[in-house]
Amino acid sequence: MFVARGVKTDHKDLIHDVAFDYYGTRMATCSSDQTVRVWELDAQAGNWNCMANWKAHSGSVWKVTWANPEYGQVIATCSFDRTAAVWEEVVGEGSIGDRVSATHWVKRTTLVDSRTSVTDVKFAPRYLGLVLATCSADGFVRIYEAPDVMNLTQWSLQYEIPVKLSCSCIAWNPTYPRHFAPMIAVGIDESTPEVPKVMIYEFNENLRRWNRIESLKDITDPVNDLSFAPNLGRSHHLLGVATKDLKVVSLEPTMVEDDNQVPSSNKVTTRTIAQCSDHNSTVWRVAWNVTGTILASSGDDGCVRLWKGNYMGNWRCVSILRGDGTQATVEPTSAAASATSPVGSFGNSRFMKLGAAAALKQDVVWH
Amino acid sequence: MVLKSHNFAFDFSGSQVVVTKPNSSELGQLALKHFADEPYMRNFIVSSAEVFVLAQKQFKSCYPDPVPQTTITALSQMYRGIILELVQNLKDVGDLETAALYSNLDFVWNFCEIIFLSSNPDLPVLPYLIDWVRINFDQSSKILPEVQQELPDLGQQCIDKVWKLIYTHVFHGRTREAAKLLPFVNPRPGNSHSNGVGTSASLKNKIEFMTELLEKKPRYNPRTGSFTDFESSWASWREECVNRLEQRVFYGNEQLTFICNVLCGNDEGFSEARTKNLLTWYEYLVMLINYRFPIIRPSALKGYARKVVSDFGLGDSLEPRDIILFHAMEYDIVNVLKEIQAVWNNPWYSTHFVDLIYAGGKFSEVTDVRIDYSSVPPLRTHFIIDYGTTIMEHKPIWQIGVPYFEALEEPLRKHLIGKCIERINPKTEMEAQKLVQIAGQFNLSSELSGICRKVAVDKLKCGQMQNALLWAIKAGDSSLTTHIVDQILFEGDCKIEASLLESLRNAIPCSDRLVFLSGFCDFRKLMDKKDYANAVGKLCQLIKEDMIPKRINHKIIQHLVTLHDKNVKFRANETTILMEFVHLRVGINKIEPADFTRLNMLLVCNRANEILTMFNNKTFKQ
Repeated sequence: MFVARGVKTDHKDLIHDVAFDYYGTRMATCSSDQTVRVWELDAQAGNWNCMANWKAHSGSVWKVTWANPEYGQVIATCSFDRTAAVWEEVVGEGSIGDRVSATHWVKRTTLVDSRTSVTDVKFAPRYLGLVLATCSADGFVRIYEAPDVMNLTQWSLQYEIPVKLSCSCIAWNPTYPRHFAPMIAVGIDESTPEVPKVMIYEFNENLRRWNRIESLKDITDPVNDLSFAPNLGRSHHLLGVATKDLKVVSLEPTMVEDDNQVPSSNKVTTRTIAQCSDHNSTVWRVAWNVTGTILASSGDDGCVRLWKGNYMGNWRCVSILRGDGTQATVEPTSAAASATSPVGSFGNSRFMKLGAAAALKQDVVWH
Repeated sequence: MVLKSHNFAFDFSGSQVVVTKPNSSELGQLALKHFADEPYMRNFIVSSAEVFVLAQKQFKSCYPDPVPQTTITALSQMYRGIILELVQNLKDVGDLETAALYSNLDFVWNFCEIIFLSSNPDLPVLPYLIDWVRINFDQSSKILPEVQQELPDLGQQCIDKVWKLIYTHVFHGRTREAAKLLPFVNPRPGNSHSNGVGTSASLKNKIEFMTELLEKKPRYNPRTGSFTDFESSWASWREECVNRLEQRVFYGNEQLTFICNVLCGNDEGFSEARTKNLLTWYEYLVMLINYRFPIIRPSALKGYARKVVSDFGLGDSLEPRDIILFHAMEYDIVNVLKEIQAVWNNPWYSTHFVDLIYAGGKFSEVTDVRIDYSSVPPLRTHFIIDYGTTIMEHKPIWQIGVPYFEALEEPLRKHLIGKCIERINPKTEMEAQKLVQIAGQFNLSSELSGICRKVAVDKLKCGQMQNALLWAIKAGDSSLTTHIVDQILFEGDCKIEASLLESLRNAIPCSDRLVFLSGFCDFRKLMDKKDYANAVGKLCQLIKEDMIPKRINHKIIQHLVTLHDKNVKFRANETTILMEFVHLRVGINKIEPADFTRLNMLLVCNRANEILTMFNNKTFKQ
């Protein structure tokens, strides 16, 4: 069903983040050893080769993220050293260990506005241009823009959003342009009880500022990760939240068209449509696939779980991948809090032909 | 901020997942197997896509009417053909287990086709069931060759096999086929195998009677036949069978008696069939309907099926396959598909089957059965998105996913295709062109320019300037275009291929620099052709339009300098323009003294000529 192997990264300390590029043929890792490594997939052999390795910060590097490939090979990192940085791959000799490589990565800019550890960095959807957002333990979300996409050294701080609570993660809503105003979700990781830990901000074109339009009251435990599903023309947004369990929240804008004819909702109706405790432990990360048909989550139980929603909006775990790569089993469980019909429990039953004696193996393949 | 001691990070892309491991600097890489990589699946996927496209075409051409039932059935059979081809391929390589899975899928699809697609809820379902059991349980192709081999004298074992085949045909309702086989079990006179149960002559008579009965069994064609006619002819045929039985026509021959009992639909025949262990519950059900309830409609099946299953002792532990059949008998499409997904975690079946239901529309006259089709459109959309994503995420076959998304409504179609093609890294020029074509086809203008831009940047990195320029122009990206043109102008020798030049002329200029490049290339061409007069004219045009980038001034000067000994006569105003250019735009201090001397000579001479000409003209006028 799947092939598992280990990748020796030679990082000298814990790896905090790993990110594929848009095509899945490159990946970047970042670590407490203050370095970033970029890897490329050898499609034939199926293994990853390290193409670049450099000291990126003077503290643990928490996150690494790729920009849209039309801007070139560009990544951003954020660190305990209170900075975020943007890096670009340029043609020209670099070295990785003993080897010489044809390209190397240069720092294009350092963003130094944060007063504390920068906990997340994310590029905005492409239609907004070359924009990125950072969030920090100092309670601010900062939005930067590079107005000249040919010149990545010039970034300016456009907005500083005071969240006033220690932020751990941000997510841009990758909505299709012109239907909704730009939107960001921010996760809080303070442990103050009963305070909502997810804030939703929306950009108001007229006032040219970011406003908080909602805070998710259902979520009061520290949030580790957030991700909006790609919007396929739905009227509502879906947000995956990694917290003490996995939650999927629906946000439905109440349409209030302003004079600009940009549907600018100053309100969203939110509803937790799924609450999945299968990890039985803290959920650390969430990620959606390209069309939003699958949500993946990782938890302290050492598993990555893949979830699918049916056409009624009920979510079910379809695959469990163990972190040590030893086994994948499918255990259909009823995941949705609002599920109305029980999920069929025939995952392990056999599909026998005509009374034939031979037992068939369960042919459940991933896709 | 809470310092995390470990943080289980991961990312996934298509069929790959990479995870960090707690307390380790090693990553776990999980390459999930895509079903398209299994043996023969590629062909399966491609063939299915072809049929799917066909179905969409039918839908469009018939719209707003539903696609006719015969067409839908034909399409369904095409899908089944694809499944069966797969089954055969797998059997040929000895993978019997996987073959069995797909064989079961075909079995279930076939039944669902009967219920949801081909039969009419108001008419007898029997003919379809006869066909269904024939396809799945007919052993003729196995047994008949054996029989052929042993002809003309069949051994007892062979004769037994033939009897079994005859019984099967009778159970299935294919009495004519059974009749054709009877001669094989009639041993010829003097044959050592003739059994002592009566003379072969009397057996021959019995066989004749039986053949007659078998051949007279009424058949019903739902498309052409009247069902009331069928009902009455069946009743009289049945009466004849009962008469024959009462007349003890087949007395003495247990096989023929058994068959007659079955034909009469009596309990003795049926329970003997069961005890002889000659059939599965599916065949038993069809037999029941053949000989007791031949005119029942599809909706009545479930009642009889439940009884049969219970008689067979299977009631408590139904196989998934049977559960699916029961859901189908309830017309519960949602649960049919849910169960299928539970045993074959692949949206293939759901996608293609629901699409056919959708294309066929609702039945126009539904009496007893309330078929709830309102779930069909959202189900169809859901499965197409699921399946389409699966296909498009698999790099070698992404193109096959496009027609699936294309089958959806706007704006969903556009969003899905746009999102997916963004993730495809074109490896070849052809693939890039294909992406561009698709983006253009669906009006994905920002994805189109994104793809072109990305290719342009890639080409630029490889040093393929001119190719990069073409792609940048396609992207409509003026700053990238300017950037590339600058590189061509300043770093190269500004040589542009003729074909590119043509494209430049035809393309809508997205950048002033591009217009300049085009003009500059024209100028150079004219210089090369030694058409100096026109070359100068072109140059002056460029100067007037203020397009010359500063960095290229020295090259322009160089070109001008070469003219000094060519005896070029400038036209009106050209000298002025050039003088302004040299002195004001460029600046004398930027020019080599030797060059300046020559340049100056050129300009001054031309100026002198101009003055003289003017003077002469005035003189003549006076």
